[in-house]
Amino acid sequence: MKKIYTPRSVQLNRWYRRLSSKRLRQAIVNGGKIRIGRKKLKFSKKVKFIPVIAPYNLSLGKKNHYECVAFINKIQSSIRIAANSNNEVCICFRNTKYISAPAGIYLLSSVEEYVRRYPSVSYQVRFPPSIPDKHTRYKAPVVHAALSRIGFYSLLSVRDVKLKSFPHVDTWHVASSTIVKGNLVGEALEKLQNLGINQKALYRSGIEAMNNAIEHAYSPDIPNLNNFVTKKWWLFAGVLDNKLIFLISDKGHGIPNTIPYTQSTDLIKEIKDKLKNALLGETLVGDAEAIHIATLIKETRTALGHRGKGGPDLRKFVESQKDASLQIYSNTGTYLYSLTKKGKKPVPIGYNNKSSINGTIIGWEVPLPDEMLVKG
Amino acid sequence: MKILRVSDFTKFPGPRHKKFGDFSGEEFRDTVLIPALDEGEEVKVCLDDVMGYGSSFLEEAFAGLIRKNIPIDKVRMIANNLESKDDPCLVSEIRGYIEDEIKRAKN
Repeated sequence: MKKIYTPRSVQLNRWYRRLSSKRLRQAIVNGGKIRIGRKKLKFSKKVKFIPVIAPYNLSLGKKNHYECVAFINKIQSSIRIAANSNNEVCICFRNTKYISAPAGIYLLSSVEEYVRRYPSVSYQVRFPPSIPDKHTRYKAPVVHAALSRIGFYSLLSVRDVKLKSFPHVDTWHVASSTIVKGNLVGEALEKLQNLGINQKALYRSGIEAMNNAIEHAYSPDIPNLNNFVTKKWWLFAGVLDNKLIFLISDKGHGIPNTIPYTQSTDLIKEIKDKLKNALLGETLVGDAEAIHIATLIKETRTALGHRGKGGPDLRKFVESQKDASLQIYSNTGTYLYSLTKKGKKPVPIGYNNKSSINGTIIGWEVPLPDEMLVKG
Repeated sequence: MKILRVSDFTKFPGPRHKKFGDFSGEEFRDTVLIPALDEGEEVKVCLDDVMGYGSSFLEEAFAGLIRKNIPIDKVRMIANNLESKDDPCLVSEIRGYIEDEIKRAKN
């Protein structure tokens, strides 16, 4: 290709224009004094960024699951690409008007895994818009406050804009660690002690979920193609949409992959047969069925008969707290467990999604009475 | 009779094993229960005034005594001297774990 010749005078003019604009900008910074060193006159190449656009509704519900997982996968692939080039990753939340707690913790844990794996990558974030508040009708940047509160911006080293406080967001408690820490579960529950919930039962469910995350979720005995960088759990506790939500998440193998290694095939078969005979609503299959089995296991293989009894602990809180429900997302499966209002008959519901979240999120939810309504 | 309060050990009982986190069932068994049993006195365990228990903690702390070769009569003595005013179901739950482990050890 023929190189276009630019006359020397034109080149000089351009250089002086760039120089003067740079000097002016620098002068503003220096309080009017034009003072600039030789090094600062270098004009660096513009860094390109890889855009990743977040969906309108960031949620792991049935309708939004695929879109949410695709968004996280896109962030992860963009981080991989950016690590091998001089590019930045730009995550755009301009369209996002709703974020659910499980999706928030899933976003945080999935992105943290990749930020730790590729520490050289830089990030930009386009902040989410303000939306009319349900109670006050005034526009408020609730999604932005939520992302800020869970520590998403600080994870990406993005400068956060200070916001006015939102009472329901400010009660949120987010923590993570590589070991089981009962004090963190306790602190989270103490923040929510005025909400009239059975704290002991929720502590039991929470500590057992955390124990499972550390003991089984990242087990080296289970074949895995991805090396785990962060063998952690993440905790979220807070009030959202006037519901108390308590979540424990990990980025491990997922319950459907760990069950065949922690339990005997005979036991799994025995439970499957029992489930077929009992009329517990629809028959679950695939990952959803594996999750359901995990919540029922009380006995394990003979050699380690004392281990793996934590499954029923996950349901303990639901059985002791009125209107509470349990949600488990693990790989492609979603499992929901609650009790009927009249009788104490369990109602397990489960289905399989198109894509996997590559990990597990275990959550408990309790609707709060109107007099405890937390206004945003 | 020596009274052991779990609340003196921790307010937040943790996981099953020491390697998984602080204030585990294994740690409670090895640093509190077994030394108290070694003194030869009768031991009573008070389970109240803590945030709650995971079943892993309870199983390892109490049924784990059998796996540590503590004589069955001593373990049953502890099982009979458990106190939980906050959650009385804990007592029968622990007794269940101990009896399961005794059966397993006999097999």
